[in-house]
Amino acid sequence: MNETSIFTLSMFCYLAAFALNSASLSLERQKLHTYGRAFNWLGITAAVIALGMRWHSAGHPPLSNMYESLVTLSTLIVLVGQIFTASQPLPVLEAGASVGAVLMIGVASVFSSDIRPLIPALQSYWLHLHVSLAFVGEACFAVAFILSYLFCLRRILGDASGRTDFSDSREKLACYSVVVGLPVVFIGGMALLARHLSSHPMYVDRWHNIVFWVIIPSILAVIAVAVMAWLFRGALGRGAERWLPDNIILDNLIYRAIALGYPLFTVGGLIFGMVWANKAWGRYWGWDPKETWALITFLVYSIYLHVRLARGWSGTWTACLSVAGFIVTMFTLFGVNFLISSLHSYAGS
Amino acid sequence: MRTILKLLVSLKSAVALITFLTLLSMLGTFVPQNLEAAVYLQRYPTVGHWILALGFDDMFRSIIYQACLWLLSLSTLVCILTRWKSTSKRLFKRLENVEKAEIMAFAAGRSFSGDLAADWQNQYPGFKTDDDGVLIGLRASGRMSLLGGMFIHIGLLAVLAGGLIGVFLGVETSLHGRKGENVVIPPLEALRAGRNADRISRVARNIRTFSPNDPRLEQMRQQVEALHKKYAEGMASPAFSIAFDELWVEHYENDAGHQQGVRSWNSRVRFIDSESQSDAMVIRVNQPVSHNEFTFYQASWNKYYSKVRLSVTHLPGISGWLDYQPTASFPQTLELTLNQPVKPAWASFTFVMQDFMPDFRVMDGRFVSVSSELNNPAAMIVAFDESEKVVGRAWAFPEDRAMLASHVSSLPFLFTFNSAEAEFESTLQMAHDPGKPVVWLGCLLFTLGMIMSFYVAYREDWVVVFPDGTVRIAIAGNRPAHMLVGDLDRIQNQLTHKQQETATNE
Repeated sequence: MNETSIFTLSMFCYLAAFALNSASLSLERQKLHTYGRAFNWLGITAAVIALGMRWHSAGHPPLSNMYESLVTLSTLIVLVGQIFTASQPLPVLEAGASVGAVLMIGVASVFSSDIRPLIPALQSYWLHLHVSLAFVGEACFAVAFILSYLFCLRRILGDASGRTDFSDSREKLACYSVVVGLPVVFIGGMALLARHLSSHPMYVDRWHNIVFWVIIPSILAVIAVAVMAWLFRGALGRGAERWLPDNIILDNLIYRAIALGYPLFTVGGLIFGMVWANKAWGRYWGWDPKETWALITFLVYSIYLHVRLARGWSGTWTACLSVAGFIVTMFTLFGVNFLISSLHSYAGS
Repeated sequence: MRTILKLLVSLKSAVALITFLTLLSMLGTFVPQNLEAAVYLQRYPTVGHWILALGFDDMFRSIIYQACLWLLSLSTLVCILTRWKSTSKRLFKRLENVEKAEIMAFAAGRSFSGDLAADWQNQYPGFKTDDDGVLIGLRASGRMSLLGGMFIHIGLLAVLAGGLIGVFLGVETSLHGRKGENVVIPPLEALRAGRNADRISRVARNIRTFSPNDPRLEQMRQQVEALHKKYAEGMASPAFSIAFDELWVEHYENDAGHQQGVRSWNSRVRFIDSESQSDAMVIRVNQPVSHNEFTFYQASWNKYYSKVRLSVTHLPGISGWLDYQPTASFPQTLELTLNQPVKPAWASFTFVMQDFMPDFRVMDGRFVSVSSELNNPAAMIVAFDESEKVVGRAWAFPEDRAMLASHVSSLPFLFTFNSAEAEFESTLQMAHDPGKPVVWLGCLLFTLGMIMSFYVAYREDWVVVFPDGTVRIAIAGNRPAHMLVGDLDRIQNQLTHKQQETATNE
């Protein structure tokens, strides 16, 4: 069994975990949730084995190109989700982490999985420290993002009787923008990425993977959720109260995920990046687009922490900031590589 | 002054500043940086002049961006100074300053009545009795966490200060060297003069695009001339020089022994001062070398081909050369060096190789090289007669594409490419930045601050004993109240020795 088959196996484990966690919510069967967690752990184990095999055969950690980065990040997202829910089970977060991982593996299938030797710029132990720590931070941001999405969804669905308590129309608009707008933006973004890649000779054989593995399943899932929501619209409030924790708990969880990820991302993504840049290029900061976007990510989460800790903001607006932070994080990871040329352009191959 | 201070200390203005910096940074990555003024005007006809007027063509050195950084530094400094008072109070005089109303308001708290164990006061290191005779005890842990915010802000300030030192006193430039070359390095002052001259020249070019008669241009011209003079003086009496002794490339090899990409670019150099010289040192990517005040980094690498070996045969039927009768037998071998004339015995012309492309493609009707590998080589040869007049041009291609050359040749010869000798040019990045230690110190403080703030749990266990015997226990800290509530039972049991009693009864 080669490592690509093991990655595929881990993807199916995540899909099974998603199905079992979702079923445990709707059927209220705790056992299904236990199985769901077990499948997520199985997926993580398979992915770690595959990553280890890749590391062994390449002679360097699987962090040197887009394919390896996405597969590693997808594993970390599920892992952080599992650790985060170890003491406080939250099936809907675990299911969300599984979906995030599956989508990332789907996007990874567009990129070449060939093992190539490291280019001179990447031959440094700082590759291990800088990228891995930044990824753990980004995985925490991903968990915060899933929780923020659930927070906004909970606000829209309201209490058991379906009553919502939006303070004003801006808050309502913000929640709807996150819940309805994000899937549309995601699918649109993926379609643009597919279009961009289809015109690139390097991706001519693989760009359609993003259509079959990401865009079409996402559209079908959005339609299915919309139809279900319409059919069971009377029971949505009751369902939300059963499936999702209280907004205060969700808000605290978002903060905890960001408080965990922020130092890791700052040290790994920014400070270790500065040390490495200084060693490789002779300057610790050069306003290269990737560096600048890492700084932007840091600034957005700094705003979140300032308004939450010092001004006592909580609720919808901090959840929206967390969503904005994750969008910026993803742009730093993907957008910069595809849309803006930089010294980090090798990461886009 | 009071208003300014109030504005600087306000969190609203800090958040607004960070948001503005975020937006400017985003813009700085979308607008191409450091191009010539004319390019912006051509590429962005509607907003090009705004980009230039606001300095967004060099966003991160623009007045607006720099002003934001200065304001953020000031705001951070004021924040550190004003916060120190409350932080020190919390660190050293927490018990003295607490009011019982504050303790009563903590979310994780409970009241109970009953006898306390005889030694309960031993569990609390600090006590005070207020005016109403209420006894208040505090047991605190993880106080270090309170300093986290301070460390973060001092660290940020140090990073900004280090960056500022680097901008004014640092120098960053690149130098190129080929095997056997000796490259002189002027003193630091001369390098700074060169850097400043480049910056002023660029600004002057932009001003000239908009108003060619701007009176500032003359002043700038004089400044640039003075700086160039200083640089030239530095070049005349250099601080030291670098001898490029050896340049070589190491490749990865697959099992079959085929090359699979570059493993390492290597430059073996010596630093030569007026009186001494260093041992030979190897500079590689990620392996810089320091000498005097500078550090040298392997930045980039060029492969070029100056010597090319060709075989030549007679090519009859070329228009204008129908009567040409060669005087020697063919094929002949010809070795050409870029831009150096060669007159072989078998021809009455002088040949000059004017261009060599190791990997040529035809793009938009022009010949261009897409890499420095010998994948698809092409050499352009020009022939001159004795009066140095051009008599014709020809292209040389490898044997499998040699016939292509007959279509683009105006000489009665067919040149076929045989081989080319690769030579290397190493580009080193040379940097001097006295601000770096300050930046690293700032990063260290920032990291420590984050660890203290986010990973060290600060906790205050309060006990309030009222004269009527009612006891209030409460827990506060940097963790959510629902995580602390669970400990209230344990604290109550400790205070009343309930567990001990239960154990004794058993």
